[in-house]
Amino acid sequence: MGILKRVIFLATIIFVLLILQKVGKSLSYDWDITLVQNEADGNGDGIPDVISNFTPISSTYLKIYVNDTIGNETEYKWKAVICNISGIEEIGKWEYNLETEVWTYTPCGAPECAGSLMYGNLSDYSIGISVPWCNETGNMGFLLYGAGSGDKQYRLNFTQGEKTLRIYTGSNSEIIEAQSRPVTDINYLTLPGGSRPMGIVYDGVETVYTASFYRGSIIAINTSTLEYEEYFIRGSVTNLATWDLTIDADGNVWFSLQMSPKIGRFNTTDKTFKEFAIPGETPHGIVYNPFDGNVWFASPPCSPMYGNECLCKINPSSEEMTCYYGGFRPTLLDLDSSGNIWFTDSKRGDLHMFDISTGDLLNVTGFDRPWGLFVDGDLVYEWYNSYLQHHN
Amino acid sequence: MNGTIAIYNIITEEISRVNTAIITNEGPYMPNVDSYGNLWFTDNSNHMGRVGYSNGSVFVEKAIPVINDVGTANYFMTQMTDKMWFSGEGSDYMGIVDTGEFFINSDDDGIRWGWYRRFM
Repeated sequence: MGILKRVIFLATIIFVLLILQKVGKSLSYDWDITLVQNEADGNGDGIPDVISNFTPISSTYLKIYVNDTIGNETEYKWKAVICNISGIEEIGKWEYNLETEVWTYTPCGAPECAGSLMYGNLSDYSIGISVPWCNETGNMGFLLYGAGSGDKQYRLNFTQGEKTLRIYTGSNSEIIEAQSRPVTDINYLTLPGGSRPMGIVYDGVETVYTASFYRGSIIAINTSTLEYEEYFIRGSVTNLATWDLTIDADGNVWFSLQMSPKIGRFNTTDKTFKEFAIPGETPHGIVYNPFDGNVWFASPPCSPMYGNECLCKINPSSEEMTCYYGGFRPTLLDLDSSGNIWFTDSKRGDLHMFDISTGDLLNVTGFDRPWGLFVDGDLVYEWYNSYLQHHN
Repeated sequence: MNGTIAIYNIITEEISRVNTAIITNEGPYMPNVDSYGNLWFTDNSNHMGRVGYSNGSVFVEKAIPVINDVGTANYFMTQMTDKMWFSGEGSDYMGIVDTGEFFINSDDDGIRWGWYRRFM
């Protein structure tokens, strides 16, 4: 019995070690914000001198908002002191233009920034407010001047780590303190080397599937144990650019292969693969549609060389494939509550809806380079971005 | 550069936009809305982001380690019960974060931040 207990104990230790080896944690920082002193009314007009706040954007990114345009203050109204910041990564400022609604970045040469934002030893400046609180770190910090500046928003970058910030605005009027605290809020699971996971889908039971872009495999992860099994599409062939995933009503996983070009099906019961030739060149998004039982996919480039048709569907049972062309070039797909296909056209900068009953096409213009999308009830979320390096 | 999430209302046909954080090498990829109504996004700078729909506030984090030089992006997402799983295209990792209602900090003096369940 004693030996059995030891074996069980050792087996448990080994199991835990194996799990720990695969699961890591990423440390980030949350912020606690305290209003140390409320707004003051220097001239007694019943209106606060300033309104200000912190908006933490990340562990390393902070937005400061100050509005001193309220009331009838005429004197030097707001200054902000931000100290106890260690490990400054980048000294500069993003400033928001209220009229154009554009953020502009101004890099600063250490130790001082141009304009109203400075970084340095605060004792070197005649800042007119008491900052004993900054002495702990040798008075180093940011100093923002904003005489008559109006409604201002700044963003500051700094490196990750525990920080305490304090913003003084007005003549010792409002004081806000921000204290960061480390938290561990992102877990990550280690997959086989070179995986470069892309598409990801949950079967609704206990398995998350992901597509390995490089290893040419589908990886099935048990969500309870975090153990996984890897299934190779073409044996040892790598770099298949396995991309998006979806799962059909039978629990089989469908995927797009950008290097082939093909789409494929992974039978999750007998663990076999089957590939299907498609008319396009680089299949992208793929989604199972429970309204018509088909798997829909985007198959650009939608050019005459490839027969133009590039929004396609395949029936999982009959394996019959049908493709459509309507002057679009689909990228990623999603469904609305009626089973209609919404897709982005990153080439032309449009959003479309394909009615699966009538074949009608809805065009929504006014985008730059839309990419991913997500349909949530009556709302379509779509990336609109002018800086997609990967997709120029 | 400004990354933007465009939100198209199917009923009213109106388009609104939410600016994501200005991060070096930002390039948003995928949006996703969890069952609580929280809006998530992945991007080209190894960040994972959350958007407070009610007030438009954005919170982003460096998400998972990058272990090779093929890229730093996070890409697709899927929700599994109370977790959001996302793939790290430029890594060998799957990221897993909690979903749910988030009330990080608030008071009655206008200092409200974090992100909130939609339609509250």
